[in-house]
Amino acid sequence: MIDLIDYEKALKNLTKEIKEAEVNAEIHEKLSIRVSGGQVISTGASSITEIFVRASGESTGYMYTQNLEEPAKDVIFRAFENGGCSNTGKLDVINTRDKSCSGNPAMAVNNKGVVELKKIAEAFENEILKSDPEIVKAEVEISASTIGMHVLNSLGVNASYSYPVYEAEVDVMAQHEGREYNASWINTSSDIDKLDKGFAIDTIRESLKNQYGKGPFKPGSYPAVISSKVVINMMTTLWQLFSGVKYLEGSSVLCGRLGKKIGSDVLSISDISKHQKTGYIYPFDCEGSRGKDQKLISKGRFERLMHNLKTSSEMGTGTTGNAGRRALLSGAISTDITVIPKNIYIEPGEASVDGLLKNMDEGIYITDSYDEFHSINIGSGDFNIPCRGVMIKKGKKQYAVAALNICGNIIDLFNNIEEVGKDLMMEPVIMLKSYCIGGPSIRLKSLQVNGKQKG
Amino acid sequence: MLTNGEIGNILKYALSSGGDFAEIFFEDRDENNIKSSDRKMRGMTSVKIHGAGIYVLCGVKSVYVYNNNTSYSALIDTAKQAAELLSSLKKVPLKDEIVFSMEKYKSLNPVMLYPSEVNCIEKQRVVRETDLAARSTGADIRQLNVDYFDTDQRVLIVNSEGLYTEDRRVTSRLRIQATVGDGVRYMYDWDDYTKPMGFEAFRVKEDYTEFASSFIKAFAGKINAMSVVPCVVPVVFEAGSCGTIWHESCGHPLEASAIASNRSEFTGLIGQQVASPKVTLIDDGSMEGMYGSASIDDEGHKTQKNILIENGILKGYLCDRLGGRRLSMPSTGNGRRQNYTFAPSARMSNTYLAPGNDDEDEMIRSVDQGLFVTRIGGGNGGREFSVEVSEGYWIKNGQIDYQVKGLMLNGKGIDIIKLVDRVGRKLVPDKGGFCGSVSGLCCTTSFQPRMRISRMSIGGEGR
Repeated sequence: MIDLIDYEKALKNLTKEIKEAEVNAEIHEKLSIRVSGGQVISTGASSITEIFVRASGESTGYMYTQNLEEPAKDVIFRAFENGGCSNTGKLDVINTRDKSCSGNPAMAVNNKGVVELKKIAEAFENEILKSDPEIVKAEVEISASTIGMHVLNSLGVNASYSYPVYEAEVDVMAQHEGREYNASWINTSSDIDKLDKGFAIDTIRESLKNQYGKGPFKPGSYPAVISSKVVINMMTTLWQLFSGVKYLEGSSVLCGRLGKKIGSDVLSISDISKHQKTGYIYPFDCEGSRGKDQKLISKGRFERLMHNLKTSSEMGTGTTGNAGRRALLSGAISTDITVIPKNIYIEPGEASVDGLLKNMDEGIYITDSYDEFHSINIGSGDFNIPCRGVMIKKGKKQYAVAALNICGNIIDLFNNIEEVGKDLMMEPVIMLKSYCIGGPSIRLKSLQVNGKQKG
Repeated sequence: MLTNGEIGNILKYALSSGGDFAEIFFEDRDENNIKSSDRKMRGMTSVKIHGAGIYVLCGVKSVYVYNNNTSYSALIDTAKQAAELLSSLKKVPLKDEIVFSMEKYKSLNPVMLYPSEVNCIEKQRVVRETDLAARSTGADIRQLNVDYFDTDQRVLIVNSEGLYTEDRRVTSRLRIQATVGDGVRYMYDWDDYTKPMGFEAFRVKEDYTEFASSFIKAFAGKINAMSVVPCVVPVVFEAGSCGTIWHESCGHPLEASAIASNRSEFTGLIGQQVASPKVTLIDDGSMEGMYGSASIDDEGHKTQKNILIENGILKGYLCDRLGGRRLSMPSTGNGRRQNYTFAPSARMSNTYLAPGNDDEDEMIRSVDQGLFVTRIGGGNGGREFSVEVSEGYWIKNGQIDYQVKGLMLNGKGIDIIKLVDRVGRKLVPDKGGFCGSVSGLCCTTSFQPRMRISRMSIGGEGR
């Protein structure tokens, strides 16, 4: 999979100034095909190997390279030299063999070719167009990836995995009463035959219908149901509340609240290595620590944080296998080891979406939101999220309302959750795909909703 | 380095299944990152990016294949793979020799001091001075990270039309992330100091220390900002980086991918009045000294000034090569990408509202109750857009009143731009930041003169 023989040799023969070193190689191979109008419009194939190195003498320095021709010992030495810029007086903690994952907990690769992907994409597009005469255009992309990770260090850690993941991404355009509407859907799976096309079509059609019709809206506080899609968008920022890094540096609104009740009894949030609703798995992290399944919030109580070796050591606890580099979008290659989730989600309940709306009786159903990254402040917990929704009366949808904002504080929202739906959806984080986020629809006692009054 | 003959062979193989155009994008990029948190230097990371992408077009069909093994044999295999993926039934013999014509363009952002010429002690000094400046404001800082980044990107673009061109792009940046409060309430925020140049960006200490202290002071001021009651009022957007509203409300919807995929309200409206007659919107990747500028785009097309909207009339879209084919339009020199792992796509570069004739002070004086936005944090574009009001003030009886908090402005771009009723005379540039979209993160600027929208729906919690 990833040939690290040179690095293995180099780690066993470190120069005397280098006390210890670690190499983390990640490989991502991908094949994708996009169809629209019964034709293939784009195809892609890629293979990229990234090498992350850290090496410690008196301090720790770092290197990242995609240049596979560069001799391993040179890369390690450059990382060591970069340690000269540090004045923390501390070395990075790296894993020891007894505490880390070892061997190959998963070894599989994608075996689907472009012909098979094309067949699936074309059939899927066909089904979508047939499902609703108002859908006039669909673009379907099917991709097949092999994701691999290998962690080696001078203390004997040597673990690797690889697995296939399949992804379907759909964008549609519908025309309804002379206006155009868009909807999209994404799903991943470890088995290409388990990409849930039926669910996709239902979700897309529902998403389109939720945009039709217009009526009066008055800003105010409403009983509300927030859709799973909106919950996922919120969790794209909110997961940081459970990061050991954010907790220790004091930039999370949950600082100091570990062990305390911060939400209603129906709220539980988990972070696990493998989930049936997504194809991404995390047997171990970029430090070689085994991924630990844990409940972060259990029935409203803030019980645990996600940790890497550094944060767990500072808090006197064990790592949870949440070390990672690609936390959020930034303008540079992410090389710093921080904490990231694996598959993090709000645990589903029992109610269907219709059941949530019926139990709400009258209020607003927030169906879609935008701008995951700028609308929630994790330091204060305040949020102001642009969104759209549907007005609800006697548990039934009335008409769509757009250009709204939901606002408040996240702690209040957590405490306001009255019921959790069973419609859990999970998605890989936008652009990075380094972790997955999930959520079902949730019903809130009240939510401040603003927007332009009409009607 | 590959010879012209070898490059020509790779392109020929890429075209061997009937493609009508092929391109190779070679990239080498060196980056350095120095991090400090809580006054401690946490070490330096050196980054080496190296790879190539092969792009093949056949009409409006495209194939993009990339990897980071750029040996001749690996790229021949990559080209063959691209040809195979094109799914064209036509097998054509390999073309005759491709004759390359080297194009050289003057750099729009010349560099005086390359990052590799500066030792890390100097770079650490800049980080320390920035950290000190932030802390010297006296604000209650719970957490402060200062990150230094420099980037030196070398690209070589060759294509089957015989183009052979290269570019070198150097940028320098500081990022401050802070959690600031008053002992009771805390907030988190970040900002970038960005320069499209080498280490000379830090020659004048006051430039970056003033950035750091201003950021913290403005941030600290937000702790006691008040929420506003939901209402519909005029909104004045300050000159400078508040131009992000144009980036989100109509910049993204004017990109070829959005138009061609029917994800834009501007589709099919060229020649029509789409905005207030006071609006002239321009995207120009050829401006000297700007963060979004480069002499060529990432398809080797010379960058240029593109008038998108003129006096409210829609004049054109932003096109890359493929987007232009889909819309039957020429490339506008906007084919851009974060790096070789992305196929190029039409993206904004430096997008700005042209100055008008209105008095900057009058547009606030004439507002009875309204909002004055002085800084926008970021946003999202599409059929509906949103922007974060990172710093804003209530206007009461024509005067700036209290600072407001926690606001996002959103709406339908094509509706909002019709409501522009004032455009000031003085255009103020923006330092720039990053835009994330289909071809990754690209450096952009968005700026404007002071401008007013006659009515927008705004509202926080209202407590």
